[in-house]
Amino acid sequence: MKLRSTAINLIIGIGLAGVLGFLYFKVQSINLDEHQQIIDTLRRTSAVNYRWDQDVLQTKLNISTHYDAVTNPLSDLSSLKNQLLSKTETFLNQSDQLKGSIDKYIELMREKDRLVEDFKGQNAILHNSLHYISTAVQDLTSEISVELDRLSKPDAALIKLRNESQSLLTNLLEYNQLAQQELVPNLEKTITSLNQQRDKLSNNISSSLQVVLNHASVILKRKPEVDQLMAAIVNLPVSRQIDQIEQDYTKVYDKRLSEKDRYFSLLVVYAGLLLLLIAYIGYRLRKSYRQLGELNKQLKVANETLEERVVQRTEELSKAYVELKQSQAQLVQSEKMASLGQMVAGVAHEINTPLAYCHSNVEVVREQLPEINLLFKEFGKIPNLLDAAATEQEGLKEQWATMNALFASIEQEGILEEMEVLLDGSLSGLDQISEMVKSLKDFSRLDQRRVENSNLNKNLDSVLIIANNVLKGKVEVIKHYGDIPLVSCSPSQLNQVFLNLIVNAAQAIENRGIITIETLAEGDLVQVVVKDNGKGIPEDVLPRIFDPFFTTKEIGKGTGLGLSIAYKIVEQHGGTIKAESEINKGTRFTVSIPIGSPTSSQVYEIAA
Amino acid sequence: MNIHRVVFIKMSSVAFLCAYLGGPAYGAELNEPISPLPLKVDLNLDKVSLGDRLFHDKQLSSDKTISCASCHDIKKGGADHLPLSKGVGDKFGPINAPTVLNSSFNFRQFWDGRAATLEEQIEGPIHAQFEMNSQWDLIISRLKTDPYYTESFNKIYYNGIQVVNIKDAIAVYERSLITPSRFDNYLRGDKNAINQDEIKGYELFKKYGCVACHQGKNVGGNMYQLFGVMGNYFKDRGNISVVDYGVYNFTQDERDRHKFKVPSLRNIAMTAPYFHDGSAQTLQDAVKVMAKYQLGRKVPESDIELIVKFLHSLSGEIPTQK
Repeated sequence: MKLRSTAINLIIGIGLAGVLGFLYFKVQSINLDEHQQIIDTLRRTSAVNYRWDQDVLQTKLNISTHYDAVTNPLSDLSSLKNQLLSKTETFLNQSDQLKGSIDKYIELMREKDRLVEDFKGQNAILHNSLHYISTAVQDLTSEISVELDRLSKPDAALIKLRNESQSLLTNLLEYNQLAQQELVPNLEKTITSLNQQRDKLSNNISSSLQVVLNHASVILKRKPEVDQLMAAIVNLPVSRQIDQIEQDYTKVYDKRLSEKDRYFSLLVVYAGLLLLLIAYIGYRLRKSYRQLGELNKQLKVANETLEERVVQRTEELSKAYVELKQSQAQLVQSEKMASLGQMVAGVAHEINTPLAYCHSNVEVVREQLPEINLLFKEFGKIPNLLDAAATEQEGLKEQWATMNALFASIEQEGILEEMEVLLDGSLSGLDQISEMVKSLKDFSRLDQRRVENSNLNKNLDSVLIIANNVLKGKVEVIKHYGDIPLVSCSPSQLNQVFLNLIVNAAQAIENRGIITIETLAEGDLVQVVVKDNGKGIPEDVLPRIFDPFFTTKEIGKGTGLGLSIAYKIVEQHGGTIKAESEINKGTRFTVSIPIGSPTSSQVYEIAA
Repeated sequence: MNIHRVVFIKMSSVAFLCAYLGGPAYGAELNEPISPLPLKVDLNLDKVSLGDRLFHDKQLSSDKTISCASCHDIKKGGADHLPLSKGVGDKFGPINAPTVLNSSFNFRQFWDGRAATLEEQIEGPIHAQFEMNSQWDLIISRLKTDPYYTESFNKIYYNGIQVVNIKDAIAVYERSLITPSRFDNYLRGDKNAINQDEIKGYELFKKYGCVACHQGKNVGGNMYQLFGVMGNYFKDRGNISVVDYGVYNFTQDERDRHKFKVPSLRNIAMTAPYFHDGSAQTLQDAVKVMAKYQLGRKVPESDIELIVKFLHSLSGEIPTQK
């Protein structure tokens, strides 16, 4: 619930901040620097373009003698173009018009580049011919003069040639200066006419004339081309296109600007609303804070008394715990005594039987003893009689006869053999009694926490002795003892568990039955299985059998603690106890006890 | 990382450096069709040295036999002294190798000017069948196995070995290949920097109109010109091939047929044979062809000799390999 409201608050917070961020972004989307850079790029492009035109013109007018100035703008314009494209990138999507103008500008520049390249080549040739034509004509006329000097009489054709070539030069230079197309037909006529005269000329003059004519043709051909190229270059609406780009850009920019203004107003309103919201939240917070402060004060007071109470409670609890611990120990002991009590009659009987026949045997021996005593007394008289043998032969004879009679009677009755048998019987009876007493002692031992390594098979035997009375005549006990290692445990406690299980098993058998006791080693565990073929435990009862004070026996017959204590003991040993039962088939309890720490090889060796 | 340093171009005489720094010595230059090379260029020296290594690395060619320097040997004036250049598999390409020296001052690259920049130009020889016949993928995979390259590229470029960076390094190196000559000193005002014959040659060079095209700071390299203005060179030579079409090959404009980029004449004495077809064995031959087909005039042998002498004064100091 709390998590959900936190999440909702978070989402609202992010939403509000998001709107604020969006508005802020929209307001910031206009970058004045960038705007200035774009305008600057356009102005610079315009300037470079203008300068380029100037440089082209200068090379045409031969003011500039090289073409570096005409060539250098290429790289400048290329980098300016790239700058423009990258800076206006975000605007291009918004305005097809701007994109169109830039594309057109690029197209125009490409055309201009081509025209300028063409112009450079043509202009170089034109200038070369213009530069050289005077020299060429001069060479020609001086050769003609030499020829005229050589000839004795003036040659009209040669003089005409000289005059025509000189006027050709003048006309060509005039044509170059004025660029008047009207001069062209006349020039062409002169060239044709001069060309026709070549055949009649000497080799020298003819080839010089050829050079002049070649260059004249070049000038005639290239001059209009260069002029046209120049005109085309100057007339390319590049600078108008740059202005167009600026206009289109400004339009988009203005649109953005007004958009920005709109968003700015929105931002102001939104920020105002947010401020109000924050003020309200602040007010609420302050109020809550005050309430919290009061609550806190109360809590503080409560806390102080609480601490005392906690200390007190802890004391009480620990005292109760100690008491509980003691009462638990008492309970376990009393349960033990209770089960022992149940055993007492049987145990008494168990002791009584050997005791009875011990008693009767000893009685018989006691009865028979006077006779033997008599024999010995009579026998005792013999040495005296022997001393007086010489004097009293008759007394000896008589005494001998008496002894013989007594001896014969003892031998005849087999008293000594009987006594031997009786005493053997008594000894075994006494052994039984002492074993019983020892078992009882073992069982009832109060030093329950003593831990020792014990052989559970032996423990089970001793428990079976105590339980013998319950089992006798009713239950046949089948033992499947496995070869199990010593177990580190409290034997008296485990004995209590086993006794409980065996007695319960016996009680579950109504007439005659079998209890199977099985021991086996299972990894680190020793398992003891007590199985009977009695009436079984109903399904609804089975889960509760280990509950304290749960009993199916009549009131006063059981404490209802047996199995719960057994469970507790096994648990304390780190083991488990498990019951499986089937009605009318029997119950099977499995106790698993870990072998425990002192299972050193030494212990095993001893066990072996 | 990209520390830009100024590369001072070696000057035989400190005096001219002082003259340059003392104030613009442009007075003389303005009237001259040829201008001197700059005294300094601003380049990243790390890139220059990386580009130097790449320029001389044969791994750039498919069979590892050809480097840029194979045809543009710095010591041979930035070219290879062959009429036509030899590529991978010992096969000859269709055209004469132009010098790499001062190529950064050319307005475009290749004889036909099809590359606008040095970076663009590099694509040509890398892929050309009769040059390196290579692929960038191959080159990059080779360079990546060389610790020098991986370290160097990573030091200079944030994204390491990339095509664009390889081209950048080579182009920056090429921009460092500048060869100021005695003639530049002459242009800057040292009247004794070249001898009297060379001065005469220069005057003839101007007079005959060579400067109509061979002008500017690279003595050419800033325009296209038709080869055969005053006569049909190709018809006279015969055996016309595609490369003879020149600029037409990339513009497809009939007006560009047989036009070529006017080559720079700097270090021209070192880069025989001449022209795109390597047809002129000596400078004298080349000057004669130019006079006939470009200028349309006869030049006396003595003048040719003087012009050739002037052309020798354009030979600059060859940069040493670092």
